[in-house]
Amino acid sequence: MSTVINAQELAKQYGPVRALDGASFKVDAGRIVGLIGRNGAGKTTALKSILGLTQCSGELRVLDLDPRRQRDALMQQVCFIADTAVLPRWLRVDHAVEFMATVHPRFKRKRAEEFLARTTIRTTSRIGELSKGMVTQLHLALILAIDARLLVLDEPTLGLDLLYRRQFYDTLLNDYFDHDRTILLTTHQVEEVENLLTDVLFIDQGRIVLDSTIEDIATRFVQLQVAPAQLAAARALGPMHERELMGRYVLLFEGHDRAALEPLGAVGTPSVADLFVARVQGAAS
Amino acid sequence: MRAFTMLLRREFWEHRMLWITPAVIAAVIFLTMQIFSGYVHLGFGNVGFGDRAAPGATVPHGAAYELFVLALASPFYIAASILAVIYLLDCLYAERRDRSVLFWKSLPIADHTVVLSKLCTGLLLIPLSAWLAAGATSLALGLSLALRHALGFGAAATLPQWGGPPIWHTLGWLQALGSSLYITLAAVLWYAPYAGYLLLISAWARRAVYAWAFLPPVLVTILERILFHTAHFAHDTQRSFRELMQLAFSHLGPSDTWLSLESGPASDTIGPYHGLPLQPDPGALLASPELWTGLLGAALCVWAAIAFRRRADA
Repeated sequence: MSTVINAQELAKQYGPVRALDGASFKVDAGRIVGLIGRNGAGKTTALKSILGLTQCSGELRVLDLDPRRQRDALMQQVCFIADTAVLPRWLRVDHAVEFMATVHPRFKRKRAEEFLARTTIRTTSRIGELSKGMVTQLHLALILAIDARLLVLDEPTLGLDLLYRRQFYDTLLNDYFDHDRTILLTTHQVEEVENLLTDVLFIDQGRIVLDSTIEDIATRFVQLQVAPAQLAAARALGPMHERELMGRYVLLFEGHDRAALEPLGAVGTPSVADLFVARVQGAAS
Repeated sequence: MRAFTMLLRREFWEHRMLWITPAVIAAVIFLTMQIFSGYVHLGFGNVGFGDRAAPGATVPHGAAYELFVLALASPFYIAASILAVIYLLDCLYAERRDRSVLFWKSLPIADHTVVLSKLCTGLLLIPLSAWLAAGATSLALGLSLALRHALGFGAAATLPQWGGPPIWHTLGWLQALGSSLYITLAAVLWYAPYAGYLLLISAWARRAVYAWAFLPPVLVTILERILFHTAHFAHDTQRSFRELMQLAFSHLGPSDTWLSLESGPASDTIGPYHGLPLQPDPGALLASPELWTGLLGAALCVWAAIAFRRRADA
């Protein structure tokens, strides 16, 4: 499996703030990777580095290219959606398609027009006249029509209602993703993308605190829900995190045998969101 | 090249005022002249560049028509100058203000290509649009007035000394087009450092681009005047149109008048047409150190604007 992104010891400082502090990770081809972190954790700086929009120290190769020095060549193979607001409001829909068809060598005009035909977007409308959901559909139509190897999404569904968010990810999976393409996305709505991710990267204070496949999470982490009477025994096993939930306690363990935990309470696999909270709060404490 | 052409088209999609303004000016001039041509006589008896035009001097027909076309073009060029300043200050700033820079940067277009397309629009296409619109307007106007006159629908605009013939003069019109195109291209080179400076401010300023563009030069000029009682900054950075004309055209007039019109009785359309005594001298213009110093300054500003655009991420 070829490596699409190889980042080693990425560091970036904005004044006194270290946005990236030695972040290292790899992303392989054909994966859907969630880059998950709190506000200010370094997600956007990492994405900007990958896209060649900002300079970082450390080593970074994307599709075997240096993003900063070979940005134009890189952008022929990489698509990027920051959020829906970045499409210029003055641009007409048909002009947007025409522009893309002219400047992007991998843009398939027919595919974009077919996708737009399935929506209620009028091609003579200006983007400023469209609803936020329609702008997302348009942006997606433009992106889906590009035969790109890597798609980078930074909070792509920010501000959209549930239906549009669901539609966005469904379209992404059904019409875009195949096992040659790679998607790297950040979002705050982790629960909504959890089922489509193949890998997660947790980032906190500029460092990668977890780099795992979804399958590995199921084998590596165990969630145990115990009554107060079993709490002491569960704590003795060294959980990485615990929280109280309606009179019961939820404890997270890393690298423990499930069978050993089952006598103490209900055992399950933690959600990505639970794992994230555990990792980040654990790192902070 | 296709991508660059598309980038230029994009500028006209975004800044619709670039084509609406000359179209509106053309329409206003055309309609005004249609309505008032029967009442307004256009005379050039006292017209002259420089400061020595003799009162009562008369002008050959073709030269007068050439002057008329050049005068007609002036509103287009005044508007184009204002448009160019507004456009150049806005073009790189606006894409950061509305965050669309992230969309444009998601496409495989180099920063220098984008910046050069904006420079090309502001410095070259806007003045050329003015030239084109002025030429088309003068053509439409001249032909329509001549047609009206021929059909007997009211008086065409006339020159008093001709006693009423329509003012259309093909050679004069062509000569005016040639002269104005030459002046336009000379002005493009002459004012390139201003365009580069405005583009740089547009790429760099986070807000208040007009204040950043105009206040620092004014303040430097005032401070120099107060502190040193000199005006070197203003003198070295000022590029007047008169100076450009002196460089771009040969001095044909007598004494210190760089352009004069012949006095005497009005000539008719018979006989050789020599046009206005404007003698383009591109060699002198291109040999001017001031021109090349300005172009070097423009290149540095554009280089800096590209560097700022490369770093721009909204």
